[in-house]
Amino acid sequence: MTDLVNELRFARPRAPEALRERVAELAAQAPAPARASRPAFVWPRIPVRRYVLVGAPAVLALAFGYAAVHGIVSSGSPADERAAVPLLRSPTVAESGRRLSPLAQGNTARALDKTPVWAAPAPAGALSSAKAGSARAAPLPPSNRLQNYSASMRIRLGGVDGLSDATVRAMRIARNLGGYIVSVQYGSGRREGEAYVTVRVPVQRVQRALMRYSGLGTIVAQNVRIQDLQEGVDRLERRMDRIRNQMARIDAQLKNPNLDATEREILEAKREGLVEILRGLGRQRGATFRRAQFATFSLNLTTGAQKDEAAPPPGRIERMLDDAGSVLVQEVAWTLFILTVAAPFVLLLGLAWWGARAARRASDRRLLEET
Amino acid sequence: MATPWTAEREASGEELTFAAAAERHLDDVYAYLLYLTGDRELAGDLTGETFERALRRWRRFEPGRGSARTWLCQLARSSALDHFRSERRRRRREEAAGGLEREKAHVVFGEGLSAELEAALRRLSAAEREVIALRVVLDLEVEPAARLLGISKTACTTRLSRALGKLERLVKGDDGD
Repeated sequence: MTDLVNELRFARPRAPEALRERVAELAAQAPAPARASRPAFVWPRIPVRRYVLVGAPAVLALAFGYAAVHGIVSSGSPADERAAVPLLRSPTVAESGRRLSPLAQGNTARALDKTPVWAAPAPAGALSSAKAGSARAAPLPPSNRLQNYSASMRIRLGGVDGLSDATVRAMRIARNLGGYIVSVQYGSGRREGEAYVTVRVPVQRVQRALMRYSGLGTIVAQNVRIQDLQEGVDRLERRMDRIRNQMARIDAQLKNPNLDATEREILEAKREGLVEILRGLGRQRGATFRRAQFATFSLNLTTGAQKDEAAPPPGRIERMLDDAGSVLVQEVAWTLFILTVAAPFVLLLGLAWWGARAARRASDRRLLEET
Repeated sequence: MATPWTAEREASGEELTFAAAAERHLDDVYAYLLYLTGDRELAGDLTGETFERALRRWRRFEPGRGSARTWLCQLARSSALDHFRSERRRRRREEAAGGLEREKAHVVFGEGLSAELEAALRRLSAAEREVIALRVVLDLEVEPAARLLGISKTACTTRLSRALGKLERLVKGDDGD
């Protein structure tokens, strides 16, 4: 076979002169070289495999890098700025609740907001000041509007032994203030215990109730919610006035001696209906008034230790990791979304292109084999 | 490692222009097309057509990606395949119309080839002659040859081995002749 190969190589055909001249004429038409010098860089032909091996880690590094930078940048604010906004401190309010300072009147305007107001948790070890401070810090219901006042408090006790006493004291406080007990749930084990006490206290005694309940233990968390009822009551009363006016007009008509029996009957039936409606509205108004007369206190008495205290605000590194983690999750979610949506189309296009290319090559091979 | 372009540049000592590439590789393209078509006249026509195409596309040629010779052979192959396709359509029309088949002209694949070898080459298919032309006559490396043919390097080597084996058998007269 070597001889064959050598013979083929040495007997390489040469182009005829006519063809040589024709190509030379073509070459003469060629314009001046477009590239005067070799290009500085030509993108080399890189196999797809190498693209994937290099590209995939590069993309991952980019994603992690962006997440880390985002985490560092967004965690830059000091922890203090992220603490819960402290409540307005209300001044000392007389028990009747009639004398309100301008600040308390401001509290009245704030109290119209239905969103709950959070108090900062008491630091461990500052018992007495925490109790008094927390009690003063909670907003108080104003006296010139009907409000639904509710407060929830999580109070940590010294130990299981004190749980029973504290529960009894909580109930007694409510009764002493003229209120009543709604529900009590009590459970204790050898080391831990919890009690849930719900009481209702006259709204004028909210301040005293807060002070006394604060004295049961360390307040770990406190939540106050004020819901305005005055608007609803005003609407009811306007409606009741309208109905009374209608009734008065009917009464005036009934006084007419010229009314026939049928008309009189109709008017009387109508008046009866209005009376019923008026009674119903009156009942609603009464219920709303009663609701506004009492504030609801939900107490959670617990003997749990460290876990019951509010976690300290996260440090900068924790915030950075947290933010970076959430950015990474977003990136993964978007990538998955794009892949999920685009992948079938890309796959189909790729298959179509590859199929067409393979078919073309097979056709060319058959053509050459037949020739 | 020097790229083919660098090697050509070093060899010529000058920048590769179209004229230089045409002069240097005219015989290569012609030889390839002769082996592919088995027809001198057709090989000549297709060679001219190839260089016309090359002139139009010369700006697209990037030396870093491969040698000018490989690029020109790719254009030549494309021209030849276009011709074969149109010939096939024409033959089918003629056969359908009951036309006569043309006689193939006597081919000389190379000055100095023995008569047995010439006859054996004529009996190979265009695909078999093509791989022999690229790997043996033009002495292309397996990678550019495989890329030009659109097959893997392994397939290219196998195809060459089979083509040379068949050629040898035909030359020796062992193919049932």
